[in-house]
Amino acid sequence: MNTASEAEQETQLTRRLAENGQVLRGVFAGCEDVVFHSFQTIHRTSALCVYCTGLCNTERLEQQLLAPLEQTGLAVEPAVEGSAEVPVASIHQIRTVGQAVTAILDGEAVLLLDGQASGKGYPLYKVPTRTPEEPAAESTVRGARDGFTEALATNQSLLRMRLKTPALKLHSNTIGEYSHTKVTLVYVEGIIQPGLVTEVNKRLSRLNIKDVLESQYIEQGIIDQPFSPFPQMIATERPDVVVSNLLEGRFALLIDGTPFSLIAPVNMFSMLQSPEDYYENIYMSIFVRWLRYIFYALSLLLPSAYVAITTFHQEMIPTVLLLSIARAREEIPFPALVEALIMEIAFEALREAGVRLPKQIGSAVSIVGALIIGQAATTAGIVSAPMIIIVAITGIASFMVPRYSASIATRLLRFPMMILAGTMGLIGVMLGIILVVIHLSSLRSFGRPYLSPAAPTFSKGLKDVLWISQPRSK
Amino acid sequence: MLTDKGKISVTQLAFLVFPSILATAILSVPGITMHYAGHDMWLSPILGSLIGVTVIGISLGLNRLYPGKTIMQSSLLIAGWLPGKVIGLGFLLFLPHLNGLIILEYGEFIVNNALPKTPLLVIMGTMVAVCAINVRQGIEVVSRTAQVFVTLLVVMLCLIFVLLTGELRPAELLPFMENGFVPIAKGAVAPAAWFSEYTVLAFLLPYINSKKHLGRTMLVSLVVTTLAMTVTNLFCLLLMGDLTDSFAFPVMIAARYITIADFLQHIEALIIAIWIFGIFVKISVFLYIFATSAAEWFGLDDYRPLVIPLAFVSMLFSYWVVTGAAGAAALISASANIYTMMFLVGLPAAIYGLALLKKGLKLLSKG
Amino acid sequence: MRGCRVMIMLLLSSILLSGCWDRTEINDLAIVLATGVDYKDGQAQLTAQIFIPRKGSGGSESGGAGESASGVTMTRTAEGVNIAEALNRLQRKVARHMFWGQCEVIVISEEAGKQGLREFVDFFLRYPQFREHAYIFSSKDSAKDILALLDPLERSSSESLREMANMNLGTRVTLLELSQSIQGASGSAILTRILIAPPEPNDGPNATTPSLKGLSLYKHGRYSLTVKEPVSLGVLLMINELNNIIMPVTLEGEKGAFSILSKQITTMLKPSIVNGEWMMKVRIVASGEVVLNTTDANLTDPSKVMALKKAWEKRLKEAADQALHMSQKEQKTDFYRFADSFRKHYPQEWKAKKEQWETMYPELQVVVSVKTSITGNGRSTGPQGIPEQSAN
Repeated sequence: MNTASEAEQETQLTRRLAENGQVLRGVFAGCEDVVFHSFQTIHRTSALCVYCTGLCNTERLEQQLLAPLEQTGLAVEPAVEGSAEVPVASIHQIRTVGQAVTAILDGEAVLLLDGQASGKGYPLYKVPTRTPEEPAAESTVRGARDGFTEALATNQSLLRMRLKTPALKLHSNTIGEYSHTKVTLVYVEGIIQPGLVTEVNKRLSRLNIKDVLESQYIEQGIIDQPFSPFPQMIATERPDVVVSNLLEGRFALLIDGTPFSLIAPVNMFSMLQSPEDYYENIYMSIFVRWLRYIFYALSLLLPSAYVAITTFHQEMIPTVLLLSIARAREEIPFPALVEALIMEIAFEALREAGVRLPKQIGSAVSIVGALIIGQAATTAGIVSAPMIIIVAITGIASFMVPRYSASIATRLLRFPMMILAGTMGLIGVMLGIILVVIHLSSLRSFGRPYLSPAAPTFSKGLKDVLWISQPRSK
Repeated sequence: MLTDKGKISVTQLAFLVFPSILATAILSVPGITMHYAGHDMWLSPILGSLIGVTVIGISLGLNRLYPGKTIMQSSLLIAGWLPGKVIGLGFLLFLPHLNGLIILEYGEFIVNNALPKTPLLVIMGTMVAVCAINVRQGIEVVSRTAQVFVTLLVVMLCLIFVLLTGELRPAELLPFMENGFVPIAKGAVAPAAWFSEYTVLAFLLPYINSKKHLGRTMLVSLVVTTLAMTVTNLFCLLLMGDLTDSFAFPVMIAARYITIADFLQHIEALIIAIWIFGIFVKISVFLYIFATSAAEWFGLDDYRPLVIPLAFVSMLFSYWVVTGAAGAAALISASANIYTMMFLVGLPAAIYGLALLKKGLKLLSKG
Repeated sequence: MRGCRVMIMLLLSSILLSGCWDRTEINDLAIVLATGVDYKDGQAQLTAQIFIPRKGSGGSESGGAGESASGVTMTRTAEGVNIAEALNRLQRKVARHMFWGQCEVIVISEEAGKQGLREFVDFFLRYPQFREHAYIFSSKDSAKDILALLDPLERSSSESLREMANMNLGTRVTLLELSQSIQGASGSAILTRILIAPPEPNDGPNATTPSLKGLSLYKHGRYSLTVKEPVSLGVLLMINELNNIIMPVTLEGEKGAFSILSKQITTMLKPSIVNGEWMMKVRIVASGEVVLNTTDANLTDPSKVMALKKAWEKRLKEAADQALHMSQKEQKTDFYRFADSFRKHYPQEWKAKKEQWETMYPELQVVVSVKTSITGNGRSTGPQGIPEQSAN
């Protein structure tokens, strides 16, 4: 909404239809999709119906609103007040120009009658939507196959479907100066940590952004430490993930227009947990979870450890292995650090290229990557084979992280780590680890320490980190 | 009025204290005790832990009489404003000595064992910088990092010990009490100096959020520390026997000796790396104490602005305290132990004695 | 955000600094796999076996261009007044940084051993890179020649030596153990002795393996003598290092002999001082399995097994006595570290008599007791290859 109409926001609707119509036409000047339908009711009252073609279900509008008013005369005015005659649910009063504008943009049909200082909003939405399907980024072998869609109402229903309790509370805010995006705060009363809801609302109300195209817009604005590479909210497309987190005392934000919802407060370890951990055999889950912890650490440390050990602490490498590394490295022109940096950057570039391309071409990129970098570079003696292995393992390790946003941190921090390793060997790597841990220790997600339940320790939560808490029969 | 608003739990306090004592002790104690006590050196830490009990008692007692006050603040109330400030100044002059020494020990160790050509300034400077960042984040973050690293440290230590068990020769325990009890007592002086570092409690106790199980946890912590020291000594003895005191850092030799299936070998760089975690916590704790004490002495509301300058001062002292490796060895072994204990045991004990006296007099005058 | 800024500053500064100080690329290393010490013309001679990292030598038959068959290792030698100077000169003959951290084998020639091990042990334990866990061997030939060998089976002769040590064929002495034993109360040491096995007629002079034969005994840190079988067996037995040995045992009244593969032989020293009388009890417990039977005896007969046990016991006792005789009467040196045992169990008495140990030792009363058990007969019961009628 442009600033000129700021004043009109609060302007009350008048009794004269022509005046109201003029004001609205002024506001929507140049908006082709907003239709002004003037007509006379069966009782000869002038009426104006304003709606947005794309968002309003015109079929229903005609059948349920316009037809009764114009032809059958069911609506005996001024008893339209009661509205019982028009078969549309949740009709609401509109008293100001601002309300009218909002209602129209939301997809409602706004009906103004001559001689009345208030209009009516008929929610006859027809939002472009798709059916819930399995989220591509978070597929599981076992578990629910539905995912959130871009439509808020659908998403809300997917949650309500799983939590049939009045304790599930939904509370909407409108955010975005231009986009007017509806952001719904979801939580379970009685389970959510006290004080959290007011805190979130406070932070949401402080947000000052133009639009919300993705959940990241909101996340960036409300987290405690926006400059951290580590994610402080979980972004997920899966309703079952949201529900399980709600029941652990967290809240979720559903955002209109994006299938990604945000969950907070989180900790380091929830980033490394997959919903499937609880769906599969418990021993397998524990095994996989520990595998993930180890590989998460590897994805951060492996290249730097390789650089540190091969250039500073050669005595640590088993003799036979050292000899084969020495043989492989003999003709490599670069120092190990430079080699590692080149390879990691090449790998990141390949990855980025693969993500952006359509699926058909994506495979071509991987072939080129595998051939050029894996094969040709080693035979040409530009990159050593052990380094390829290291980069490959690191890549696999970073793919193992179930939350994409959590792997970003290790991908970024890998480079400074390598430089530290090239400067001071393992000592440098350790200093790097210490810095990361200091950062993680000082990080908070909505006031909750990021490293909890490990540090500070909560034995109850710690069990779910080291082990898996599973449901027990009473 | 504390200069940091953070609160920590009793367990976290224990996690802070453990590496504060063990990180450097683990390197030097086996050699020193072996030198004095011979084959009975594993008994020395147990004897030395008596000092630990004393110091914990003093710290807890002071905290009971003056709850919520660090020793810097309570000494003002106990001895009066001017004498209290003088005592505080004493601590303030001693702490950079201790800090400098710890930092130097770290630097020397790394230069000797891992990075011989890297300048000492870089090695110590990077560590002090990292510690200063840590300390600036407040006691809560310091204790959280301690929790993470101490857990790693303990796991790794246990791992080394397990990997070494095959190489041990229990026969080295004999002869038992070859020269009677006196050498054990002599050997106990060094561990005692380390145990006297339990005085950090007197500075940190006001930050705990609940006193539940305080005494018990501290005693458990003492037992664990003693146990760790004893086990370290035992392993060095059983592995190297009489050679133990001929090495500068026996534990390093032990680590170098590990060979598992011809594959996992020479992992001392890894050991150093893990040990860095411990020394990081230790330097952080002492730097934190130094910074908060200084802030309290000057009557500041917040200690944070002092951290960076005081870290710098500690660095300077590490150059001043001693010159050369032989000097460092001398300062951690002989008379320096007395010097350390004078400040870490003698001074707090005097303050506590005075406090008890005052309380007694008050009771007398009342009754 | 200050922490972040400091972090970035630190990193930026470290980019500038990287590339100096302790960083050494593997390409710049001469990886030493084995070290040899010789003594020639009053000078210490240090030999290093250096790995040649040449690509594509996986099949080891690649070029044959060098002077060696497989061309994986080379040796370089330098002399000096002492071993440290020799090392210094050695570096001048090699274009890369000598890297001793992977040196798993140290060979000391008997000639060098005569000059005393102390110098070498001190140097190896003091110089930063050497491994405490390196195995020490003694050699009859010059250590230089042994390191020059190119074992057709293994990648290098150092690897064959290491494998042999791991198989417990001789004494397995690491650098740290050697240092302990020459600094101990008895001041003696026992090392495995290696020879160069004569090469097959068609192979080059270097294409052969080092072989273990006998033991070198050191007294007060100096080489004193070499023992060969059968005395060396007794010596190994006395120091509890006799493993994987097949011993022939004859039974009285039977033609032919049995061979017994020892499974476990444990030797325990129990010193005792009763009424000022010093005595050493040596207790040997052995178990083994019959692997060869050339007699007609059937081992399902318990009495035969008993007899066999007795015979083996006798055989072991003889070996121990032989070794004791060599040590006590001939050499008058406490090779088996009896002194350490006395010091451990009788510290006060030991302190009083420490100075007289040299004279006491040859006269010390030693009692050897052996207990054996036969745990198996191998895969056969009766003797094989004897016609039925003659066995009846």
